[in-house]
Amino acid sequence: MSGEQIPRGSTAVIDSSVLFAMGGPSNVKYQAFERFVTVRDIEVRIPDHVAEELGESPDAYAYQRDRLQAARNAGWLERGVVDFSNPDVSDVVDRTRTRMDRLSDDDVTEDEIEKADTVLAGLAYQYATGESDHVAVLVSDTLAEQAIGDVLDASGAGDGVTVVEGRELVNELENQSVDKR
Amino acid sequence: MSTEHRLADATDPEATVGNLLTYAELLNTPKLARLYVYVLRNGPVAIETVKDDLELPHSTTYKYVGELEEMGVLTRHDETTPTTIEVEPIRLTMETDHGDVVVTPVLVDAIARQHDTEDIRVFVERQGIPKLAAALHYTLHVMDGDLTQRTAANKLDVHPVEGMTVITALQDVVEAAEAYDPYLDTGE
Repeated sequence: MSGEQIPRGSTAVIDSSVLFAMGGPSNVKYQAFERFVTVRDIEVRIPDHVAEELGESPDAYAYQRDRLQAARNAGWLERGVVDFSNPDVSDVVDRTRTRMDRLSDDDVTEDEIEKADTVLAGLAYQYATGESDHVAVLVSDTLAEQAIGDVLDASGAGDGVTVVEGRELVNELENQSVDKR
Repeated sequence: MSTEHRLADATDPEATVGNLLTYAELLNTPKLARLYVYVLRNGPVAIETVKDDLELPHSTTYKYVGELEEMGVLTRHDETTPTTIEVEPIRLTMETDHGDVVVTPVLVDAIARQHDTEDIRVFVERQGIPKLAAALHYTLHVMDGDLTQRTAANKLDVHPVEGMTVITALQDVVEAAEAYDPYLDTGE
């Protein structure tokens, strides 16, 4: 079960697609995730590039920005700033781009790999080699999951990092909370 | 005359264009699409049950049932009491200048979900049904690990947040469709 892969006190680096899968604060999935990270004392961080991408989205998606803001106001989500002055972090980001390009369909060029995808790995590496005992990366993207896992394993930070399919985790937490009723 | 038979007879221009119009009607009418998918998932099912579960007026329910029957995709079982209905999974393959296009029930379901899924409704309002069909195509590839959601958004030529929002919603549609869309894998 993916929830058990995230030890108490971990730092979780989350992609916006996992937030989208949760819905808003009135959604059972959102509430189940909020409870999960609060009870387990998990610090959730969204990379600054991902937060900026949300900020620049079309006005019709203001409701997605509101969901991010609701999580920040509730105190369980903060921005994570990627330290590009650390050459090892930059290197992990670069290698993730190369790995994603290699795993992608042939008609995908390296230019089409977005920075917001690659910084997830960089931030996870930064936390894993810094203060965090354990880091979880939550993505809902098969290719990103594999590429980030491969690069972090190769970087030597793999032992302290788990890459989790975030959409599955959220569905699992929802089912558990429904079962308890 | 079954849809299967009409599809097999591709040299018959009348039947082929007839199919095209049938599918166009389904793709253009979200409420009809919703009823079609409901009956596909639950059929054979009593008409009254369809009406109650979808909270449709009596007249609308019978109008849609009649339309699907005329299109040749719905069978009515008058020998049972109450009368039950069932529908066939549709499949339309077209060769186009942009490659082969396959329309199957999963796309009909995606269109039907505008009714209750904000993430799909906003996307269709802004981008239209053809772009939703393209988004569904890329969602299948994302689920197969062929590209990331953000790269798919690039290919769709929409903002990453817009692309990821609709792909996340469509992942739920695809997972549900695995139970009732026999043609899902052929779209690969």
